[in-house]
Amino acid sequence: MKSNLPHAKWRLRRALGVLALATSLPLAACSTDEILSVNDPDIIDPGALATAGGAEATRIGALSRFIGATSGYNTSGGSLGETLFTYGGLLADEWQTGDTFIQRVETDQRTVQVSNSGITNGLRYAFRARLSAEQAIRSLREFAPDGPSWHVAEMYFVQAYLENMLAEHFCSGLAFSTITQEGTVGTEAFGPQLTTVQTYERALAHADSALALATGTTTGAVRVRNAAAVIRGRILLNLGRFDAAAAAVQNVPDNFAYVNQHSQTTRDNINWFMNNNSRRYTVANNEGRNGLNFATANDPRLPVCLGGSPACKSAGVTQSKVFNSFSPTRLNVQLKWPTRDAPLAVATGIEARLIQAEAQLAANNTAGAFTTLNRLRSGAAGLGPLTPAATAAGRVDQLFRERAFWMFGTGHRLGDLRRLIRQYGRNQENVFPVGRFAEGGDYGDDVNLPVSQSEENNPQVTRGETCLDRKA
Amino acid sequence: MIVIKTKRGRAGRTQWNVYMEQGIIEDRNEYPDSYRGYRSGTTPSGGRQCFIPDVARGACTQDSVTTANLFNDPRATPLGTGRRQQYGVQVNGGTETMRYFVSGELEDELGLLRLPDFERARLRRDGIEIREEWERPNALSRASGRANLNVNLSSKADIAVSTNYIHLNQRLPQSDNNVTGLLGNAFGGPGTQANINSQGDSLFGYRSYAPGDIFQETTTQDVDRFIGSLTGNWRPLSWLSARSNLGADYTSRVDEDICRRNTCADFGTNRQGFKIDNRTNFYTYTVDASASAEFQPRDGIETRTTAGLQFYRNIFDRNGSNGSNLPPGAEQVTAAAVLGADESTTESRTLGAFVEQNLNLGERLFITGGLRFDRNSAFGADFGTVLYPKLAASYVVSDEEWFPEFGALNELRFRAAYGASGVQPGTTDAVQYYLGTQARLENAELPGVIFTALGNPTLRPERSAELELGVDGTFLDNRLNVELTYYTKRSTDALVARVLPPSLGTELNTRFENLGEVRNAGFEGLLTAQLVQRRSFGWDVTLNGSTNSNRLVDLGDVPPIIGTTISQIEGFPLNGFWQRPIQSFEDKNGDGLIGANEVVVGDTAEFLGYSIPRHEVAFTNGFDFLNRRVRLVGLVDYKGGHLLGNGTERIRCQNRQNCRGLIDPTAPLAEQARVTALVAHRSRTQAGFLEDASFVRLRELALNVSAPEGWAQRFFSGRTLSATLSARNLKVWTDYSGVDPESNYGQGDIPSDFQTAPPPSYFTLRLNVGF
Repeated sequence: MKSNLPHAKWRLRRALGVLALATSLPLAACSTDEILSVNDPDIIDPGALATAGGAEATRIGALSRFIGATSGYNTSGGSLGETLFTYGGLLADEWQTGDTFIQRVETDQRTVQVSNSGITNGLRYAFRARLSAEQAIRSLREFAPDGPSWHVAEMYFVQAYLENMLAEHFCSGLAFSTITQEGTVGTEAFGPQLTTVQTYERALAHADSALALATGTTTGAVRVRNAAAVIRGRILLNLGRFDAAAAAVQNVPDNFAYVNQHSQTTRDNINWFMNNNSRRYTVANNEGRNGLNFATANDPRLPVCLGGSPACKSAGVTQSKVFNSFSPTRLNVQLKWPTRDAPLAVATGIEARLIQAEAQLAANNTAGAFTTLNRLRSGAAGLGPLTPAATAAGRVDQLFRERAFWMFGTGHRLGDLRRLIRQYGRNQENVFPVGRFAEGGDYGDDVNLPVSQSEENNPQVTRGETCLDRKA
Repeated sequence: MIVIKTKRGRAGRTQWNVYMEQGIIEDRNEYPDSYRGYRSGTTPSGGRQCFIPDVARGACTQDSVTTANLFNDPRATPLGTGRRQQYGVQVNGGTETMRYFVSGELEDELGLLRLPDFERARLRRDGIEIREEWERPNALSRASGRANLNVNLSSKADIAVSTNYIHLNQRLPQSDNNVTGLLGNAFGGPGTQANINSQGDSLFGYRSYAPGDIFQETTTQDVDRFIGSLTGNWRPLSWLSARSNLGADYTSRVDEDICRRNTCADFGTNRQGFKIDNRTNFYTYTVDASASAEFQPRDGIETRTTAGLQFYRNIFDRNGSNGSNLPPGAEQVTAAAVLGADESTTESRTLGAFVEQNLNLGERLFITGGLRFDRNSAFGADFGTVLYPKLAASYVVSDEEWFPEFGALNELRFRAAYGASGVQPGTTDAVQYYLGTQARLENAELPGVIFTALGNPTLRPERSAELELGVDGTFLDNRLNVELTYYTKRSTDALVARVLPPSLGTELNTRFENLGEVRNAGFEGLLTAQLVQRRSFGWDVTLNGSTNSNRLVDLGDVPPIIGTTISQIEGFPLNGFWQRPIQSFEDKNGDGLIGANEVVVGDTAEFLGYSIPRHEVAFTNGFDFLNRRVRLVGLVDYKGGHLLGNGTERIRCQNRQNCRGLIDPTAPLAEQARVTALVAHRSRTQAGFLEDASFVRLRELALNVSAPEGWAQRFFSGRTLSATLSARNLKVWTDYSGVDPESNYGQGDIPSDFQTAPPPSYFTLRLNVGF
C-alpha cells in the first residue's frame, strides 16, 4: 500500500527516521574497528619480538635459514627445494641429473635459463638467510646488548659465508637489498648490482666483523672464530690473495668443523635427500670428459655404491636406477651421508689446510704444499701419500683433486672450477664437462649460474641484464 | 550472504516425490600411444633410444620403432566401468499459515578406475591381501537432508527457516602430475610393455610404478556440512517493511592419506609407511537487516527506499598431523616413529551498509540508484571504508502509447546499469609478520622466527566499475525471447602479486599491491524460443552465448611478470600465453625429418593467445512428443578463442621421451617440428604445445517419459510417474591433440592439461514417482 498526498511528506520523514535509526543503532553499540578487529594466531607480530627472547629467536631463525640455504632440503620448495650446494655440483662435475625436471637437466647440461625456477629457489634461500642474519644482528644489539658477542659474530659469519657462496656460484651482477624497519613498518632498500669482486669484498668485510667480535674463549666463541677464519681464507683465495688466505687460516686446528645438523623434523641432509632418497641426482663419474671419477675412484673420503648392489641395499637404497628410469645414467649413491639426519660440515680445519697448501703451491713451495696435503691424507684410512706430479699444471690438478674429494658435496666445486679458469688460465673446455650430454644434445658453455629473471623486479637492475657478465 | 532459497512448501495436500537413479560411468576418451625408437646395435629391452633430431643430424640411426598403449590393453588398463546410484524422497505441503518442504537423498558412486588384471595376479602371487579400496580406488558416497519451513506469523510477519545437512565421503588415488600417481606413470611409459622394475616385476608399460603399488596409497576425504538460515519479514505498515536474515554455514572436513608399512610405491621412504590426518573447520556467519519504505507521491510514480546493514564473518581453522615410519599393522599417526603437526587459523570480517532508491515511473521506466559502504578486516591499516555506487535503468519502450505496433513484438525493453564492486585482499596481505621455524643446533631442536611478509599498509580493495547496456525483446505471443547485453568493466587498483626480487630476502616471493588496471568487455546473449507448440510435437530451443575481450591496461611501475608460459604484460590480455613462436619449418634435405636446423624460431617471446575461452555458446534443443509425455533434450556447447598448454604431450616429448613427434619418422612434419623446437633448438620453446583448445561438445542428451494420467494411481496409488534416461559427455569435436580440451590440472585461474584425468561419460536411468 502506498501513502497518499498530502501525508506523504510526513510519512517520508518518519520512514527515513526509522531507517536511520535501524541502521545507526548497531553501529552505535560498538565501533567498526572493534567489529572488524581479528586476531590471526598464524602470524607473529614484529612487536612481539622486541625482547631479548625475540632477538634470540631471530638468531635461531637465521641459523635455520642458513642450513636451508646450504646443506638442508627445503620442503617448502616442493620438488625443487634443493640449494646451491647441489645446483653448483650439478653445473660442475660432482653430480649428474637422474631426473626429469628440466630445471635440473639444463643445469647439468650447462644451458641454464634465467627463468629456471629451481635456481631461483636456491638464490632465494641464500638471500633469505642473509637477511635473517642482518635482522638478527640489529635485534641482538638492540634487545640483547649484554648477550655473548659471538652470537652477533656468528651472524656476520653467516652473511660472509652466504655472500661468498653466491659469488662463487653466480655470474657478476648480484644485488644485495635489505629492509629498513621503522616500528612495524618495513621499507625495501634495493641494492645495486655488484661485480663478483665487489661481492667478495663485501663478504670479506663481514668475515672481518665476525672475527672482531668472536674474541672469547668459550666453546661458541672459538667455534665461530675458527669458522670466520676459514671463510675469510676462502674469500681471500677467491680474490687470488693466496698468502693472505693462508695467514687467515693458520690458527684453525685440523680437526675443526662448523657443522650443520639435520633431522626429520627440521631439514633433511640435502645430499642424502637428492641422491640416496629421491635418486634425482647421481654421483658423477668422468662427466663430460673432464670430470673426475668421483664414483669409481674408491676413495675412502667419498664412499659410493652402485645402485642395486648389496652395499646400496644395505644403505637403504632399494632401487637400482635413477629417478628417470629411462635415463642411461647409472645410479651412483654416495655413502658419506647415509641418513637423512647426517650432519654436514660447511667449514673445516681440512679446508684450512687445503688453503694453506694452495698458497704454498702458488709460492712454488711444492714440498711444503705436499707435506700439508699428505698430513691430511694420513688422517684418512686407506689413503697413501701423494707424489708431486712432474709439471706445475699436474700439481695444480692434484691439489684441486684433493679439494674435490675432501670437500665433495659441500658447495666448493663450482668455485674451484671457476678459479681454474680465472686464476690458473685454463679454458672452460678443459675444465667443465663438455661434449655429448647423456640426455641428448651437447653440453653448453655456462661456467656459472645466471641471476634469476625475478631480480629484474629490483629497480636498480636493468631489465634483461641480471648478469653484468658470464665470465668465470 | 547465506540465504537458502531452495524448494519451499506449497499450501495444500501433502505431496511426496520419490526417485531412484541407476547409472554407469565410462571413460570413452582416446589416450595417446607411447613410442620407443631403438638405436641400431642396442638390445630391445634396454639401451639408448635414437630420436628424430639426432637421426636428422646423423648422430645415430634407428633400426625399429615400437608402440604400446596400455589403456587399450585389457590386461593392463586401469579403466573399467563405474557404477552410480541415487535415491531420494521429498515431501511438501502445509497450510496457508505454515508450509514445509523436507527431503533426503542418498548417493553412491563407484568410480571407473580398477586394479588391472596383471597387478591383481602379482599381488596374489606375493600373498598380499587386496583391499577393496585398492581394487576400486575412487568412490563417493553422500547423504543429505533438507528441511524448510515457512510460517506466516500474522498478516504482517512471516519467517522462513531453512536447514541443509550433507555428509560426504570420497576416496581418490594418487594421479596426475605425481611421481607415484596413476596417470603420470600411465602417460609416461615406454613404447613397450616388456619393461620391468628393479624387483623384476613387469610394469606392463607403466613408467616406474604400476597401479598395484599406486592404489595402495589410500586418500580419503570426509565432509560434514550444515547450512542454516533464518529469515524474518515484517510489514508493520502498509508502506514499510523490514527484513532480517541470520545465516550459518559450518563444514568439518577430514583429509587422510595413508601408506601402511611395506605397501605403496617404492619411492623415497614411502614403504616405511606414513599417515597424514588433517582436520579443517570452516565457519561462515552472516547477519543482515534492511528496511524498505514505499510511496506513491503521485499517480504513475512509485518509490521504494531501502537501507540495510550486512556483516560477514569467515573462519578457517585447521589442525594437521602426520606420522612417518609406521610399525606393521598400524594405521594411526600416533603409532609412527616420527611425528609432526601443523596448525592454521584465519578469520575475515566484512561490515557493510547500503542505501538504495527505486523509482517506478508508469510501469515503464524503472530507475535504481544505490550506495554501498564496505570495510574489511583485511584492508591495510591506512585504508578505511570503500564506497560502491550503482545506478540502473530499465525502460519498457513498447508500453509507450506512441510506440508503433509490430504484430510480432510483445515487449521491448532497454536497460542500462552501472555499478562498482570490489575484491578484498587476503586476510594477511596487508600485514608485516614473522613465522615460526625450527633449527637443530647443538643436538637439540630449537624454536626460531623468520621474517616472512613485508606487508603493505596502504593495501586497499581492487575496485571494478562495470557498465552494462542491454535490450530485451519478447515476440510471437511470448514464444520468442531475446536478451542482448554489452558490458565493459574496468578494474582499477587491481590486486597484483608483485614479484619481490630474491635479493630482498623475504620468505614470500610476492607482495600484493594495488597496481594495475584491467579492462574486460564483451557481449552476452540469450535466445529462448518455442518454435513449435502442438499437442503432438513441440520444439523449444535455448541459445546463449558470450564473448569477452580482456586487456591488462596498466601494471603500474613494475616490470612485466614473466612466467614459464604465462606472462602479464601491459597492453595484452591477462594471463596470456607468451613464447618464442615457431615461425617456419621445412624438410630441406628431403629426409622426411625435421632437424634443429630446419625449424625457425622467433628471437623473442610473442603473445600467442588467451588462456581461457573467449567465446562460449550453449545450445539446447527440446522436443516434446505425445502431448509432452515424452521429452527429448540435447545440450551442445562450444568454447573457443583460447589455447591450452598440452603439458602432457610436452612432458612426454621432453622428459618421458615416448611421444610420436620425437621418435616416429613417419610422424607429420608439424608434429616433429614442435618437438625439435622444444628439445633440440636452443630456444627450447614450448610454443608448439600451446594448442588451439576450441571444441564443440555434446554435453547432455536426456529422454524423459511421463506415464499417462492414471497409471501411477492404478499401479501404486501414486500421483505421477516418469522416467529419465540421460547421457552426459557423449562426444567432443576438437583439433586439440591432447585427450580432452577440458582436462584441467590447474587450481587457479588458468586451465592446464598436465597428465590430467579427462572427464568421463555418464549414462543414467532415473525413475520419479509422485504420491
